[in-house]
Amino acid sequence: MKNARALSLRGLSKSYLAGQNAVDSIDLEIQPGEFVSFLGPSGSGKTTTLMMIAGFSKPSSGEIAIGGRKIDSVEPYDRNIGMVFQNYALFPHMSVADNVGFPLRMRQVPKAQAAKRIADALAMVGLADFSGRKPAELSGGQQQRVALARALVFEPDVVLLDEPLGALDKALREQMQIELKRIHRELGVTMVYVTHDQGEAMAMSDRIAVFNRGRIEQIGSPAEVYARPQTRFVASFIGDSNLIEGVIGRGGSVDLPGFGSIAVGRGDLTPGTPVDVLLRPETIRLSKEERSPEDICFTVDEIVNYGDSFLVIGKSAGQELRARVPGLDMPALARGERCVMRWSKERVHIVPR
Amino acid sequence: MSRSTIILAVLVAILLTGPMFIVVPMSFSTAPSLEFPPPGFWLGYYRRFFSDPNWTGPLFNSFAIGFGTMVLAMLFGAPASFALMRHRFRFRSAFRMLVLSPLIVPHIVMALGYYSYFGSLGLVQSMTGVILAHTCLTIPVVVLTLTSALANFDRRVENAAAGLGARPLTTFRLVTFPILRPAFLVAALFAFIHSFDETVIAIFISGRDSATLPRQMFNSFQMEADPAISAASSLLLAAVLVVIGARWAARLVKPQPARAKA
Ligand SMILES: Nc1ncnc2c1ncn2[C@@H]1O[C@H](COP(=O)(O)OP(=O)(O)O)[C@@H](O)[C@H]1O
Ligand SMILES: [Mg+2]
Repeated sequence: MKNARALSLRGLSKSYLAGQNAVDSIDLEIQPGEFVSFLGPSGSGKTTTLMMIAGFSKPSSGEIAIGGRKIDSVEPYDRNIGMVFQNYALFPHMSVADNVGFPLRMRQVPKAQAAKRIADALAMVGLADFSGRKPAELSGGQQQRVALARALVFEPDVVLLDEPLGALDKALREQMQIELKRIHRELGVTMVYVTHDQGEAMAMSDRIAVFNRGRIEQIGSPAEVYARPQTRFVASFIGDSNLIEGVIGRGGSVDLPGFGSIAVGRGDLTPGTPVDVLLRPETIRLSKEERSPEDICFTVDEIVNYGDSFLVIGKSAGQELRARVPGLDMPALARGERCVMRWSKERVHIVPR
Repeated sequence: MSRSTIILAVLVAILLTGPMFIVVPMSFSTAPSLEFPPPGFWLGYYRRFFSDPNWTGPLFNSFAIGFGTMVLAMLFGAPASFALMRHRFRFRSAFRMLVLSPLIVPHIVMALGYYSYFGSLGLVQSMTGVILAHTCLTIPVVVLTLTSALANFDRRVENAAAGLGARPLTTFRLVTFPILRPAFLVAALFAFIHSFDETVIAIFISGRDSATLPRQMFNSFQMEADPAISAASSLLLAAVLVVIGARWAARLVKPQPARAKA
């Protein structure tokens, strides 16, 4: 599919109740062929945004364009957007082949050609032998694939997926993530993928748009939103995190009560500005070596063994902190024990408050 | 369940179904007049019923009126159901009350009303009059059946159809209606049977030429107690049972989540 299109949202808002925006002035430029995830907690406006793009819900304000063409007044049936619903929304009275063939039938594709495209689409999702089944005769994962084939078979300009893997168990979900990525690579179609699972968004996306209370708090590559979150919400929603309250000091350093002052080279922030310092658990190292006076003391409260790594929860300078220690580097620690905590200062990230 | 509840349940069941066990055997009786228990069995009453125009006329009328009522009640009830379930409009709850009111208003009151109102329109003693009255009476049945089906209908399949390129009418024809077909079928059959066994209004406004089966049974019972009435009763009962059976069958027709043998 070489006809991938760009999708742009400009100032897009939706309010169900007067004075409350379920989606609040969203701006987003999605490149042709890009895989963008909408990541956010339940109720943050992801589905509402998707429904407006698909045309099932009318924006209160703002505009939507596909491939540079405004589609605000285009009816859903003329938008040429493929959508996979959270519950799949398959037609229960039609066979798998008729479900997948439905968009082709609507486009009056000749029978023989349609049959070939249906077969190709079903083969792509690994359901070549299931064309005669009814949806009720398929497992959840198979229904999900049918919904995907149906959304792709008519070469839509954009494909929208609303938590498509939400109902599947973990192993199947991981398998489908890989398959979806493969299909995206093969077809090169623009995809918008809604999820509340940050791991899923990290694994699949070119870029992640982090939703909170109807707004996009940050949009960037998975590495970017993980390493350099711009807001406290993004920092805490994506990955495991320690946020320590601090104040910008002289010369681009940050003062953390109980932890001392760290040089972070943020001369752009005025001294005295309150900030949060993000310390990812995997950047903390624990050791039982002799303490020197400038070392920071860490008291262990809880140790969780994940096999490949340990999660150590404890306190330091009155703050609860979480440290992730690779299994091989784990010192012999017990609950209630005190040890020394070290961190790489260059990995510290400042989040404005 | 305690012993006394079981006994109570059995008593209630006997009370409810008792008449069936009297009327049906009686209809196959050899006795010259209504008599229970029957002295012997044969099909005489049924032969009499089907050869007497005083019975076959009303039977035909009942079918015609039931069919007309079914068509009209569906034509009004189906759109009303969609309006009630899918649109918010002013006076919606008042509209729902109005549509369902024939369930509450005593039939004898409605019958009197139709009698005087249709009188001035020249509709008394006509089939049209009975069909119109029965339509009002059965719209609530259609609306109750269809609104409960619509309440369970997942509108996302309609969104899906639209997103795949189907215009609203196409979506209705290819998706909404086929999925709701069993409910439509049940609603139509209920409308038919409601009209078929309705008595009060039929007595008031169906005339000699448009007499329905229940009205003819009532007349016959008052005048001469023609034993063919027991055959008529059994046929009426059979019609009701067929409809209930059809409703049950419709439930069987719905797609069952069968296990895939992958
Ligand atoms: N049809 C609706 N009527 C009123 N409020 C709605 C409707 N749909 C969604 N909302 C509200 O809009 C907000 C965003 O919902 P939604 O877009 O479904 O979130 P998400 O998909 O991120 O979980 C929520 O607060 C929700 O309660
Ligand atoms: Mg949602």
